[in-house]
Amino acid sequence: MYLWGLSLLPYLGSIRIKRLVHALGSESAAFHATQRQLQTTLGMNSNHARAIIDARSAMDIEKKWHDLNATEGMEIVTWLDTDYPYRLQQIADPPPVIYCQGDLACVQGPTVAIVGRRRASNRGLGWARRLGRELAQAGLTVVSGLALGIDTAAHEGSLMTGKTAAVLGTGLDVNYPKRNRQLAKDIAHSGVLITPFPPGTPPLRGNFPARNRVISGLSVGVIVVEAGKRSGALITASMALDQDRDVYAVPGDPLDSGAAGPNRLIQEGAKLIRGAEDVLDEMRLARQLPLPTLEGFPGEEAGKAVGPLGDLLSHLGEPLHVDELALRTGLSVSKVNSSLLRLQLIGLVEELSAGVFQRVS
Amino acid sequence: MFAVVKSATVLGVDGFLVDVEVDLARGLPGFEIVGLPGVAVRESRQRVRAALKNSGYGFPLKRLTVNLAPSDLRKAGSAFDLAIALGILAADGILEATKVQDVLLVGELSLDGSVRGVPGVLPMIIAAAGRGISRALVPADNEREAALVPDVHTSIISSLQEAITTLESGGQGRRPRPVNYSMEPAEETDLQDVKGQSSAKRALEIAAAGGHNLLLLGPPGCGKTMLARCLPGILPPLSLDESIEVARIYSVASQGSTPLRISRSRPFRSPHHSSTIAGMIGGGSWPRPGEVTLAHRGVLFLDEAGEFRRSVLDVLRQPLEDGVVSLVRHGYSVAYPSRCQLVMAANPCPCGFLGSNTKECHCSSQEIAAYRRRLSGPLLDRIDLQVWMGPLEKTDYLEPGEPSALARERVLRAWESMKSLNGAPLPMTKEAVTVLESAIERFGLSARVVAKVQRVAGTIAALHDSDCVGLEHMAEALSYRLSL
Repeated sequence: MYLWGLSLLPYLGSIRIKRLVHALGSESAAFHATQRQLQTTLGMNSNHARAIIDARSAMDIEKKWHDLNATEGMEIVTWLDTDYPYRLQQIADPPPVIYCQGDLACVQGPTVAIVGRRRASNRGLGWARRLGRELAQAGLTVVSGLALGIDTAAHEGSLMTGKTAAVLGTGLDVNYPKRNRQLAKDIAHSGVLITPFPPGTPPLRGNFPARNRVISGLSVGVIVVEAGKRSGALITASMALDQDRDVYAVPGDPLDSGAAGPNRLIQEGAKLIRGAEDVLDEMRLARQLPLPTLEGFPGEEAGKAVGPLGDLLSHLGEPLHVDELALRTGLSVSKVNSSLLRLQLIGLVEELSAGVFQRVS
Repeated sequence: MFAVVKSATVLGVDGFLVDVEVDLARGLPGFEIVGLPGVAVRESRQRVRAALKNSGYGFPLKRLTVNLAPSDLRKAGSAFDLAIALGILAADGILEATKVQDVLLVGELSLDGSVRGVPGVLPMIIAAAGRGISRALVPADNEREAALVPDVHTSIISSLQEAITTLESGGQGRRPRPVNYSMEPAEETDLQDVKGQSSAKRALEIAAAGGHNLLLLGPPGCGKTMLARCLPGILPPLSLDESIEVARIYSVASQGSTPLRISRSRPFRSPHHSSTIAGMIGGGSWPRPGEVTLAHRGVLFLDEAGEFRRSVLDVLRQPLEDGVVSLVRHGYSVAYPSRCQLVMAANPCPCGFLGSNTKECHCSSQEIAAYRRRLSGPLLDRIDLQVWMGPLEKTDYLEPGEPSALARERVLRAWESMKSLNGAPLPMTKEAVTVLESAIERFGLSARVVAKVQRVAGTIAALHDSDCVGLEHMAEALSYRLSL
């Protein structure tokens, strides 16, 4: 409780809290530190120390703690607790307290982060979704930041086949970004939402680097899919390096602005990723990606993609628009559309976006 | 010293007969019009006086009262001029009263005695026919409308003098030339001029066959507008009754920039996105039909649908649903028909390049969300089919397209086979049901979407000359479902 109280006070980050607790012997003592103690142990100026004392006396910590714990579905985990993610524990400045909703245990196993820009291209989104799906299927928990674009695609992909963890830059009760409200619910249901920020924290600019630190901290490796020259994803990648994590990058066309980030990372030594297998190989995990079959689907011979369906599948190794597909296979658009829908229902093909389809893995 | 002649006015798209009663009494010379006349009607006093004088007839130096009956119906416009002038002549004994009796008289007078055309002549003649009036005099400007109603012997006139001679002779006078309905669509765009976009063309064909509302999404320059303009060209022609229904609307609206439309091809209206509510559904203190009525039995095309004001899109909802716009004004209301097919074209985001591989999108996520909301709220419920159009590929320019005529033949066949069903849905095969069920589960389709998909699947089955909705038809219908 006192550690949690400390995390709410101004000017106290995880490093200062650690020092204070160490110097004064206990969390309770640290929480109740006098102005003098604050100034001498932390070398603070008197204004800051004063502010801390004021904030502390304005706070009814016991009532607040009680109320918060009564909140349905939310768990508060401090670094003293055993279920605090051990990987996060190892970084230099872990958040003293995390708030989570869902199954926190899923970040204790093998994890990988997928990050990238918000305004991503079709290809980038397709990549993120596919990596998410395949890595989750191989048993990894996919960590990302619930932002729009690549993050969303990675979460969506991994939700299809496995677990995913979303690290927020806001309080758990703040719905941000608004469009991902449903996604957040789904993740809380079959994965976990994690945030280092107390309930009610709005999406402030300054929160996001801290969130990125948690994303990389929770993960064994970080995959950057698409990122501009100054994308937040690159901050995550550099934090991952500081935290001694692996950094992977999906290369792109040098003329494409979204490729500037990952290509730069590769130049600086990040591992180039051509597909989920590369990540799994690197992490020395078994590759185990069973394919859905046509079995039991109406109108098909058991287990075989024959005739036009098979023909379509053979062309869909790369993302193609419906029109282009009709042109290449010589089938009518009507036939192509109806076949694609059926393949989509079986799960052999996915719509990357706007009429562009691709074969699943 | 009293005479009654017949004229007519228009409310909504319906004509109403009006008795013009003229009384000449002794007393101080004066000229009064009673019976709820609008401003233009009251001003007809000046026009009638001058026209009579300049046609060589004197203006009676008597106390003159004109009553427009039924007197509780509001009357607007200048169409009563001719009736008032001839009524005065009849009351004055210059014209034999029996010769003007039961003749519909419509026209605006100019000061020199010539007769000008007025809007709404077609519904007026139709109303006259309904009331058993067999003769009419209408301005030569309205000749084409006059020819559409064979039950009424209509003579066309271009001056007050000609009207008098025609009436006095009791003969036919000048008869309007018969109208040949043009079968050609007014839009010149043919499907074979639209390059690539085969799936969008297919969706257009399905929309045409089933009268489905369509949404085209795609980056700028991919051919959305051009494709939409092809729709009238592949729709079946209007029936004779329908084309008169349409001509009637255009007759009422024929003022300024909207010319009369007598054609068997379906109207295509494409209002600019700055249009106002009154422009879209009709309005004004004397209501005039709006775009949705001008598109009756045809196509209402909203280009750049995301740029329309939200309130404007909102008001379209009810007319599209009910097929009629009711406008209520103080003391009366009018109903305009509005049974049209809606086609909307929109960019996927304000700049248009969202999700494109070739160009980068510069919109913020808030902008995109706001743009989508504007589209999705009001009208998306009415959309049955949606297609995403990609940017053109190099190969698309070389591919020879199929001309509209071929698509039109298929649409006509499907249209007729569906007509023979009388609205009863085609039976679904077991496989079609299975696909639909798994799609409901996989994509989380709402009941509304499912109903639309079933309708579209029925149309596709009809296009394929099938007597039941099969697996292929259902799967294709599902691929055009709304996903925006």
